[in-house]
Order: sequence, then C-alpha cells, then structure tokens
Amino acid sequence: MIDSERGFENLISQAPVAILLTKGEDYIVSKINSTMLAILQKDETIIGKPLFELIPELKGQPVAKMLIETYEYGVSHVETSHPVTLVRDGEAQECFFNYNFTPYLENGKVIGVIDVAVEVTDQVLAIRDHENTIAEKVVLEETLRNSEKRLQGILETMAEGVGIVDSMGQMVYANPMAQQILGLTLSDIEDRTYNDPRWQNLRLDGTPLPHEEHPMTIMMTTGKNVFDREIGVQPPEGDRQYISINAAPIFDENGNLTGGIGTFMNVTSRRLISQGKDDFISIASHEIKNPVTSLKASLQLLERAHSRLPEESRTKLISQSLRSLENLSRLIHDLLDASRMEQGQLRMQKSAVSIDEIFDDCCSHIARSSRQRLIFEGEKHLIVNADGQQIGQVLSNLISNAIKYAPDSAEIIVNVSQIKGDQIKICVKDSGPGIPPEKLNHLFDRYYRTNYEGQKYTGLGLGLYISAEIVKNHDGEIGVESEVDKGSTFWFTLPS
Amino acid sequence: MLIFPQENDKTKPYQFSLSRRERVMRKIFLLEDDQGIREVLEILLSSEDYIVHSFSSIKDFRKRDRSVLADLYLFDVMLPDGSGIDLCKEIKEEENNRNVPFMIMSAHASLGDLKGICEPADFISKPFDIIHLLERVKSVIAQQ
Repeated sequence: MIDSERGFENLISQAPVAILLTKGEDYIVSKINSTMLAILQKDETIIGKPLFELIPELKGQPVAKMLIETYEYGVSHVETSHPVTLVRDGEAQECFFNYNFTPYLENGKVIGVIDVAVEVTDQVLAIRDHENTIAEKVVLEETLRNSEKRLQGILETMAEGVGIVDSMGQMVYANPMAQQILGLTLSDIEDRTYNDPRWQNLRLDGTPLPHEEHPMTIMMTTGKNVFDREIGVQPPEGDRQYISINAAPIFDENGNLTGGIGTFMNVTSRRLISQGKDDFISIASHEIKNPVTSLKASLQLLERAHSRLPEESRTKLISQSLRSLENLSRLIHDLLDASRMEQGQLRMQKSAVSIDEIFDDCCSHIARSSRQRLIFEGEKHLIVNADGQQIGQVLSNLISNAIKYAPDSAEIIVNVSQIKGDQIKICVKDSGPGIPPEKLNHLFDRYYRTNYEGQKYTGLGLGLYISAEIVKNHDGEIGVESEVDKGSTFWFTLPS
Repeated sequence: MLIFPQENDKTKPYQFSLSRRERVMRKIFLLEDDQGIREVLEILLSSEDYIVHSFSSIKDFRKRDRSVLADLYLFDVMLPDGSGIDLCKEIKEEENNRNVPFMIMSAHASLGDLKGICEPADFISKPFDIIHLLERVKSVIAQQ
C-alpha cells in the first residue's frame, strides 16, 4: 500500500502534465510535480506555503477567480488556451494553458483544489502569429484591390490609349481609349498583334510601315524606350488615324524581356492641321510663282525684243504684267491679312456708312467687268457702324467667290435686309453647282479650300477665313446655305 | 516632217494658207492654265518663229486638231483638271507621238517627281529665264 502510494506520487511528480494540489482557504501548496514547478519557475521549497504569496501576480486574474470558485463552491472549471500572466525571468509574460480545476474532497468535503495544466503558449502564439499574418494579408489585399481599382479607373478614363503586349507581340490588354483609337473590341484584342495586317500601319508619307520600323518592334528588339513616334493607322473601315506612340519594355526580375507597354495618343487632328499648313504653303508658293513667272518673262521679253515686237504684242505684255502684279499684290495682301488676323492685329476704323456706299467702293467695278449679271437689291440705304473698307473686302470676297465657283450662274444677287430689329443681313446668292453638305462646315476654316488636289481654282483659299474673322470682329455672324445643283447663299449680319 | 492639212478638216480651213510656212516652222503645243504665262510664251515663241498651239486645260487639249502633229509638247504640271505629268505619260504611248519630245515646266515639281511616270526631254522650273527657255526649246527640237 505504501509502495503503491509512493508509486502514485512518482507518477504524479514525473507526469508530463503539470499538477498542483492546494489545500485550505489560503491555498497552501501541498503537492506539486516537477512540470508545474518548471512552469512556475519554482522549486520544492514552496511546498507548504500559500500559493498567492508565492505567485502574487496571479491575484485578480481570471485564473485566480476560477481557483477560488472551485474551492468555495466545489465546481470544476475547464479552460483551453486560457491566458495567464506569470513573471518569468523577472518579466511579466502572457502564457496560455489548457487547465482543469477540480475540487479535492475528503469525507465529502472540499478541502482543496487539484490543478492539472498543460502549457500551450507556443501553440497559441504560433496560431496568433498565423492569424496576424492572415489579418495583415487581408489588409494588404484590400489595399491592393483599392489601388488596382484606382489604376483601373485611371486606365479606363485616360485620354491616352494603353496597350500591353506579351513577348510574342500579342496584345494582351487594351484600355477603352486604345480600343476606341484602334477601333477594336475586347474580343478583337485577343487575336490582334500590333502589326496585324488588317490594320495597315503607315509611315507619315502614307507608304506602308515595315514591321521593323514599328515603334513597338523597335522597343522589343532594342529593349529601350521609344518616345513620341508618330505613325498612321488605316483600320479595315473608316478614316486613317495618326497616333503618337510611347513604348516601354517590361522585364522580369531576371532581366528577361517579357513584353511591352505602349501608350498612344490620337494625333490625327494635329497631323491634319500641319498637313493643311504644308498644303497651304505649297499652294501659296505655286500661286505666287505663277504671276512672278509671267511678270518676269514679260519684262524680259520687252527689254530684249522691244523694237522687234509688234505694237499689239507690246500692249499685251504690258497689260499682262500689270495684271500679274495686281494678282501678286492681292496674294500678298491676303497673306498679310491672314497673318494679322491670326495675331488679332487687324485694326478697325468704324464709322457710320451705308451698304450702298460700301458696295459702290468695293464691288461696282466687279459688276462692270463680270460676264454675269450682278444684281444689288433690298434695303441698300441701311446704315451700319463698321469699317467700310473691311466690310467691302468681305462683300467683294463673297461676290468674287460666286463668280469664280458658279461661272454658269447667270445672275448673282446681293440682297440687303433688316432682320431682328437691330441686325442687317447681307446675302450673296448664286445658282451655281452648290456645295456638298460635308464640306459646308469647313468652308470658313483657315487653309481650307474645296478642292486642293485638282487645283481647280486659283487663289490661296484665305478669302472666307479672312471674311469670317472680319465679320466676327464686327460682332456679326457669317454663314452659308447651299444645296447641290441648286446654288449657294453666303450671308453675313452686322449690327446696325 | 511635213504636215499637210487633212481635207476633211473643216474646223481650221485657214491652215491651207499657213501650210507653206508650216513646212519650215516648228510647232509647239503649249498646255498652261495661267493666262499670263500662256500669253507671254505665245508671244515669245512666235517671235522666234515657232507656231504655238496653246491650251488652258486638259479638256481643251483633248479637243485639239489631231491632224496637226507637234514638234514639241510644253506642259505645265498642275492643271485645273489634272496633271500634265499624267497627260505626258498618256500621250507618249500614242503611236504618233512616240518620237515627239516633251518639256515640263513647273513651279512645284522637280525632275525627281517625274521618275518612272514621264521621262521628259527637259524640265524647266518656274519662274524661268526666257533666253534659257528658248535655248532649251531649240536644243530639244534639234535633238529630235
């Protein structure tokens, strides 16, 4: 019996779980095994002493309350992963235990508490660590998601097209603007490479752009950024576009080229304006060279062969020279006006003047020299406060245009009327070929002329632009109504 | 090359009276839309005893009397209804014109623009010097 009791004590003292028996209301440590001693960092000398004096930090902790309850009410308590603060190596530490408080009975009466505990601090900390990691990841994911949303928002609304290609040049992403510029839908993207033959890429001069000259190819082969390279793109349907491309390579962490990102802008209108200017300059130089050529040749001929030429030829050459000179000065005048307009430098000298007077000054000689009948009608006596010379220029431009562009119109009618109380409207009406609707909008633009290529008409094409500027400076409006085969009416209004 | 007016040509009967002179005078077909340049060239070239047939547009040129063969075509490039270069190419393919030289004058184009389209015997850029122009005309016709 004694042997078996000693054996049992041995079992307790060597058990891998911590065991403690306290007795009485002072919770005297009466039995404790080595595992529990190790947890408490005590030795066997504590046996016979009150627990809360030995380990004062326990006081007030939930574990102490449960111990007391077990003793006072004789109820067991089981806790798992329960936090207990213990002073270890001189420092308060949060430790975790699975433990079990059981009342210790003698003759049916509670005289102590058996405490069986397993420390699980490492596991709890590991779990907690894990949970922290997860929580951090959740936050990170949230941040990433927000930042991706923000980026997506930028990509979707930006005015530049963004396209991403993989290492094979296959497009893997195109933002909405890129889709719009390239006229692509999302499903098209999957089967389009940046040099897809259906989208003919062009050099600026309109010739096909060879694969190796494409900015994306240059970037992919050199591995270097390419900035602001302009190319033309002819989609399968619709108008030719000009795009400016920036291309940058994408490398993985080992420095291998894995693809590229291209951003591009539609610069079609910029390109068309500069082409318009080029066209204009070439037209202008052509227009100026013609009168210079005939003037120079006439004068040379007169100088060298004056006496040999018949009277008739001499007269012809002289009047021809004067006409060329007049043409030249008109061209130069137009050019200067246009450039002054552009800089807002055309000064007005306003005075009260009747439309009648303006017409007489600017246009009566046109009426006399024209084959067509020029009819001036309506409320001619109306007075405007305007720069008579400039308004005369507008009127003579519109009349000359009618003569030039509607040569078969027997009559050209200039009509003056009062509208809306304080406005005067002047119309120049021809019954010529009319103007197709798609051209009407551009008529008053600078550098626009209805037919550049055919060179059907001479002149710089500045007349309507200058006229529009003059009318605008006078707070008036200018416009045109036209129907193909029916004729055109150019009009402008002035405050009276 | 002697040119005799066709008997069925009723449009230009006066050619009968000119025919004797035409045997010795060279004929230049001038296509130029600028009235001033056309007039000066007419006066200049006829004062040098060339016969000048002048036209202001391709349409006008196509209506020419085809019985009269040219010794030289002198074309402007930018014309109201097309390009003098294209017309040059077209005319060179006609049997009668195979050996007739072309001169192109332009304010605009350069000889390089004509490569492969029309190989003119000479190219004059505007504005030109009349003495220079006459020399070139003379030498081109002489080479024929």
